[in-house]
Amino acid sequence: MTGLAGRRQRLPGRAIARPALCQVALGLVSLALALACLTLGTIRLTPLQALQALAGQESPALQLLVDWRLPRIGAALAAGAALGLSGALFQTLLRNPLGSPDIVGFDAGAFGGAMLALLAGLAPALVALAAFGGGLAAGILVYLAAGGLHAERGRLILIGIAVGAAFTALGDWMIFVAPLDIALVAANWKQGALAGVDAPRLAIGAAILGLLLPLGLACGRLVEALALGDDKAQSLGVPAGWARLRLGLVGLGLTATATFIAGPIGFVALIAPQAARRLVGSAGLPLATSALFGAAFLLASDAVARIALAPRSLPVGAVTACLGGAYLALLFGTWIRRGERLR
Amino acid sequence: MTRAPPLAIVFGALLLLAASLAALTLGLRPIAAGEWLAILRDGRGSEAAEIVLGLRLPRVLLGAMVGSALGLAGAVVQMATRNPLGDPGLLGINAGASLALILGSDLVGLAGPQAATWLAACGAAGAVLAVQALAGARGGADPIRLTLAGVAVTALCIGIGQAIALADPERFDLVRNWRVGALSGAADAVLPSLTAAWLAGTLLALALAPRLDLLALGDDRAASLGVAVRPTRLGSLLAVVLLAGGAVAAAGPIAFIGLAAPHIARRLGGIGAVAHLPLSGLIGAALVVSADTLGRIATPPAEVPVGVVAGLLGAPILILLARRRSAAA
Repeated sequence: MTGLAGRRQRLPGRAIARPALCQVALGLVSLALALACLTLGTIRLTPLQALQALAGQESPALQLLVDWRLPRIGAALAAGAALGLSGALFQTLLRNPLGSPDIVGFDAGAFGGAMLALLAGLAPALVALAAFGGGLAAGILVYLAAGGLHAERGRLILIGIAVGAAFTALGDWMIFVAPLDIALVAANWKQGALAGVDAPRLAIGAAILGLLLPLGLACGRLVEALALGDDKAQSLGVPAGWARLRLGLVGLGLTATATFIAGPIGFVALIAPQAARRLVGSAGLPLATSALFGAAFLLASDAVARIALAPRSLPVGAVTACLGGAYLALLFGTWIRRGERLR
Repeated sequence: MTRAPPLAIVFGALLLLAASLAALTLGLRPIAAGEWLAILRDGRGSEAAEIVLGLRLPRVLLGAMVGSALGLAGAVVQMATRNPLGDPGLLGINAGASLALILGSDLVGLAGPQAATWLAACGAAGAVLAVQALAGARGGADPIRLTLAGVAVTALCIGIGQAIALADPERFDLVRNWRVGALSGAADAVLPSLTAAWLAGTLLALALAPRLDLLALGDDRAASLGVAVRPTRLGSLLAVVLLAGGAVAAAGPIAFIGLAAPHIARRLGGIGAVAHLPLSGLIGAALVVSADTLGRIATPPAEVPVGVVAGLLGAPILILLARRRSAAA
C-alpha cells in the first residue's frame, strides 16, 4: 500500500475537484440504474410510463412500482451504501485490501444472529437487533482470539476466516433443522434477500442507517490519520486505539444493518472501497465515494440478477460472487506481478 | 512427545479403535457391557446386535473412510504445497466438488452414487487449479494468499451452487441435508465408488511419500536430489482430488479435518512422510468418527450433522495455528 501512495501523487489543482466529480458521477449512475430497474421485469414499462405512473393517480402500474420495485431499489441502495462504507472502514482498520467484513466472517456472524431470531419467530426489529448482536459477537471473538487489533495483518484475517467458518457452520445447521418453508426463506436470504424485502424491514434498516451512515462518514479524518500508520496518527492528535474501536463498532453496525436488510451479500464491501480509491486516485480509502460506489454496484448487480436468466431471477449474491471472483483474479494478478507478499 | 514412527502408528490405530468402540456403544440406545459380550458370542439376532451391526457399524465404517481420506488429503496438500494451512475445506476443494455435484444433478441427472464420486473429483480438480492459479502458486505460495484464494473460490462455488439449488425447492431440500456434511445417508450406496477412489488416492499418496519428504527441502534441492518436481506435485494433487472428491460425494463438505489431523499427527509422530501420511489418515478417521458420535448424542433425539461439529470444533484449531504462526514469525 505504501508503494501505491507513492505512485499516486496528485496534481494540486485536481485534488479537490476529483472526489466531488466522482461522487456526482456515481450519484447520476445510481439514478439512471434506479430508473432502469423501475422499468425492468415481467411487466415492462418505458421510463416515461414509469415516471408518469409515479406522478399520476391510482393505477396498476403505480401499485406494482410502490409495492415491489421501489422497495427493492431502496434496499439495494441502502445495503450497498452500508456495505461499501463498512468495507472502507474495515479495510483501513485491518490495513489490508482483503480485510473486508464478508471475508473475515462478520456478516456470517450477523446472519447467524438473524437466523436465530428468525427461527424463534421474532419481530423484524428484534431480528435487526439479533443481527447486530451476532456481528458484534463475531467481532469480539476475532478481537479476543487475535489478542487485540495490533496483531499482524495476516493473523487477523486467518482468525476472521476461522470465526466466519464456525458461524457459517452454525447458520447451515439452522437451515438444516428448520422446517422447509423457513429454511427456504433463510437460504434465499443468505444469497441476497432483495426480492423479499418488505416495508417494515426496509423502514427499520433505513432508520438505523440514517444514524450510522453519518457516523461512519464522519470518520474520514480518523481513516486518513490511520492510513499513515499508528505513530503518525498519534502525532496528529488521533489516539489510534480509540480510533480503531470507533471504526470497528461503526463498521460492525453497518455490516449488521446491511445483512438485516439484504442478507450476507459477499464481495460488495471487498470491491467498493478499492474501486472508489482508484476512481478518486487517493492514497487512503475515500469513505463517501465507497458508499456511493457500493450502492451503484449492488443495484447494478441486482439488475443483472433480474435480467440474466429471465424469467428466472438469480439471487443477487450469486452475481456479486461472480464479479468478486473476477476482481480477486485481477487483484492477485497485480500482486504476483509486483512480487508482493502478504506478511 | 515424539515417538518412534511404528509406535505412533499403533497409537493412532488404538485411537481409531477407541473412537469406533465409543461410536458403536453410545447413542439413543446405549449398549451395555453384557450386551457386547452377547453380541460377540452369538452374533446377529438380538435387538442390540441389530443396532450395532446393522445401523452403527456401516456408519462408523463410512466415517472412518471419509475421515481418513480427508486427513490424508490434508497431509498431502500441506506437504506438496508447503502450506501448513492446507485443508480441502479451506482451499476450496470441497466447495468445488459440491458445485460439480449440484451442476451434475441439475444438468445431466448424474446424481447416481456411482457417478457422484467421479463428478466430485472433477469438481475438486477444477477448484485446485483455480486456487493455485489465483494464488500464483508455482512452487508453493504464501499460505495466507492460498487460504484467501480458497475462501474466494469457496464463496464463488457456494454462490453459484445455491443459486441453482434455490430455483427448485425439492432439490434444495436434498442439497441442504447434504451440504452440512452428514454420515446418516445410505452408506451402502456410496461405499463401492468411495472405496475405489479411496484406494487409488491412498496408494498414490503412499507411493509418493518418499518424494514428498524431499520436496519439503525446496524445489531446487529436491530436483538436485533426483525428484521430478512437477510430476510429483501433480501426482499428489491428483491423490488429493480423488480422496477429497470421494469424501465430499459420500458425506458432503466437511471442513477442518484435513487441517487438524496432520498437525495432531506431527505432534504424535515423527516428520517423515512415510509415517506421517498413514498416521494423519488414522487421526482423521478417529476425528470424524468421534465428531459424528458427538453430534449423535449432543442434542437427542435430533442429530447435529458431523460437518457442523467439525466446523465448530475446527475453528479453534485454525485460530491456534494462526496465533502460533505469528509467534514464530
